Amino acid sequence: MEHAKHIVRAVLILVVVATTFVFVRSLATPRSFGMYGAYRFDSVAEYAAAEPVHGAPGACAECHEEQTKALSGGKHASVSCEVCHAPLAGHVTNGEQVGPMPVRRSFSLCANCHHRLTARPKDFPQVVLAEHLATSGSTLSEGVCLECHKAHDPGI
Amino acid sequence: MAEQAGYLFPNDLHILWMLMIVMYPYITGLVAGAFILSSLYHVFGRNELRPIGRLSLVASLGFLLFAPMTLMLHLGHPERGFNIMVTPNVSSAMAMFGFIYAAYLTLLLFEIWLVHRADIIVLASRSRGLLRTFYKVLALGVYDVSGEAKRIDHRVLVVLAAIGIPGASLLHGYVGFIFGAVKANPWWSTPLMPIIFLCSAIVSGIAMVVILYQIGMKFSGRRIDAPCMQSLARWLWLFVILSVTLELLEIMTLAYERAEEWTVIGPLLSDQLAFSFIGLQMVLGAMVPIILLGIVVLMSQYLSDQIRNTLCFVASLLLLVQVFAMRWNVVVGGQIFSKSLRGFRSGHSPGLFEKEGIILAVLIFVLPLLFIGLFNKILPVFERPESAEEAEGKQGLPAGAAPLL
Amino acid sequence: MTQASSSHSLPSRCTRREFIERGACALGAGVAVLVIGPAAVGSGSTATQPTATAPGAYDWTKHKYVYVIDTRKCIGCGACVRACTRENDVPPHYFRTWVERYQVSRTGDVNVESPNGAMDGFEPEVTGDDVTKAFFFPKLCCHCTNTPCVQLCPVGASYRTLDGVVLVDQKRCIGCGYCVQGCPYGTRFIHPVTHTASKCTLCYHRLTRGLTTACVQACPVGARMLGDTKKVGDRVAEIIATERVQVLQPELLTEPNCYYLGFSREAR
Repeated sequence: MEHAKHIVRAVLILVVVATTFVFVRSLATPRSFGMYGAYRFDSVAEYAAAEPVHGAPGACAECHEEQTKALSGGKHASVSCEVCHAPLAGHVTNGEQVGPMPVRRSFSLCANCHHRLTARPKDFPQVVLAEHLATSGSTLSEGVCLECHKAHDPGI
Repeated sequence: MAEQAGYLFPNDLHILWMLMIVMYPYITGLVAGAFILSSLYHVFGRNELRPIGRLSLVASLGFLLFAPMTLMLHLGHPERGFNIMVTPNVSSAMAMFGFIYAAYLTLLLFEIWLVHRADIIVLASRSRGLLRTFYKVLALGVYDVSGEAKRIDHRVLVVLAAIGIPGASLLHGYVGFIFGAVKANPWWSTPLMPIIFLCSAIVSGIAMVVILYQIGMKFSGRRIDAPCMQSLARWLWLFVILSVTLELLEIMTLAYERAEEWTVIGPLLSDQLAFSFIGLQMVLGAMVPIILLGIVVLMSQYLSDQIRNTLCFVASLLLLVQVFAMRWNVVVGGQIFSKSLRGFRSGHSPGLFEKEGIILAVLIFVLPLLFIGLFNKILPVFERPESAEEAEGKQGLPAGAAPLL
Repeated sequence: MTQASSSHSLPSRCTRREFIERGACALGAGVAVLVIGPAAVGSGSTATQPTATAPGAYDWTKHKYVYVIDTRKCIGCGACVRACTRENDVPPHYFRTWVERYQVSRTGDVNVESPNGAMDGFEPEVTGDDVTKAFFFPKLCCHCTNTPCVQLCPVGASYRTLDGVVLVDQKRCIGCGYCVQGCPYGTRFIHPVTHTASKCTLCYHRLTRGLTTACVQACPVGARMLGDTKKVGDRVAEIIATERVQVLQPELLTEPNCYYLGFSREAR
């Protein structure tokens, strides 16, 4: 043991370093870590705290009863308002109107869902635009679909 | 924007693990390889390797010190890097980095200190001023070089070197496991991955020591020890053959089984990685060195020292390139095809000045070499006859040296 | 005072140096016991109080979310992708959800595409060969029960909540990208601004307010459905239990919680 003094000193340094590390580590571990698993529980709360951008399903009905009634009675009943218009957050916050709700009248909006694609289910209403215009005798213009179809209740 | 062919998952357009993640296994491979080479001498008593016994340990340390730089340059949040040691997720192989690295660094420092302790004490007595204080601190204030102390040193050294073998293997093997355990990627996912990584790590470590040894001897005007070089060539040859066999075995099995992944891995190797895999990793990097080293090993008696040294040097340079190419082909190659197994994107070309760019990568490779040079200035890495005599336990201090206390 | 470096020091007389040495040893050992002990034990029990709570009366132990996609209904309009992007501020060219289109010829050739993740829907196909089978295939994070991504995360930033949602702690993630490599479905990415891992959160901020996810709400044909296996009589849980459903890459045993109806063999 006499001649192992240097080994003892080296090991002592190691012990001090290891102890310091353990101490620092316990300080650095976040308080909510490990509560429900190997993660920081506060993160769950951080996610939950974000504000939704799209509204609840019935949110538009509070102010727009007429359009909601037309929608629920027609073929577009399953389409959320925000799909064709825009997310609620840009229009209303905390019950106050903060911006306009865009209304798009272009045929490209309708075509997004309704132009014919082979991959679409066969029973889904879809048309080849040129053919559809020819049979109805219309010419292509921005708002051509709305000449015959009402946006909220499109059935003819 | 990357060129694409076929269908890639939309998020697969972005390559994540780039040059720095290729450098990391390369550098830790050099660490592990150099250490295992040193343990051939310190543990398994291959005395012909004595000339490079200390060099390989110091080379291991040099590359070890700069390995974390690669990771820091890659992380999205390097300032949070310490989280890996604060809240490690024990199911993640990557989390083991912090502890394995720290443990191995400790072990290596301890071992190098023990190997050099006699020199430290002698140098402490010979120097003056700040340098003297430095050596005295290194000696931890203990100047015992008696026979008994040397025996204790040696016993501890052998234990450390023995523990160090699995330690070094773990340090690099876990990197192989990081890739091998990703079931989502069929090019990475194989049980062979840690072993392939380790074998090619040993190849790169021995090759690096060959190069450093030859350059070191050239600079100091000393003779390259022929039996040592012959032994290095032999070990290098063995591990190259082993490494290439395993690499090819994996590919042959995939090609034979012709499961779903072969639809992407086949084209990957023959098209996208044609240059880096077939050209660099297999032909220039494996076939040529195997031939060159084969000449050294099998036709030793016909070779002059000069030819042997040159053949070994050239083979080692090619092998350093080969191991880099292997890391590149695994890391980047595994991200060139999409997880859809239906598409490819063009390979990643690192820029010069980026965070994960070529200049920084070269710097990370060169800095350890500078470290080794600096270390050699402070503590001699190549065994000198004088220090060997002193290590035999001469009690007295050389004439003209001041007492230590 | 010279220190004898040979073996002849007198055991009974303690030199100053030896005293310091032995004292340091004892002190070190004592400190080690006092600090390592509680610290090792305490790392589990220092967390006694969360520093923030979820809003309202949401109890995460009362929910377990599952997702069903009926590919026979999907029309590939991309409303879900747009809704997700707006709801979660997803950066362009990165996708928390996307829709793929498969076109299969009679001879079995498969053509798959997802133009910009189907953000703007799909264009009419340009097909020379006879496409006998074509369908849309929406994808999103499967919120697996046996997640590879949580298993691989080195710092515990990726985790699974008690209500079955896999999330990434944005303050803890170090941006190593291991989870992105580990996801077999390609649903994760490294956010170009925050440099952390990001992916579908199942609109957790909506779920905790009793709303449904943005993608499910946006789907005009009801192809996407969110269910809760802990809710009695839940329609979606009923589908999973009674109908012929399939998951992506089941052999990997990640146990995804996203089930498909109308799953065709070409889909991967």
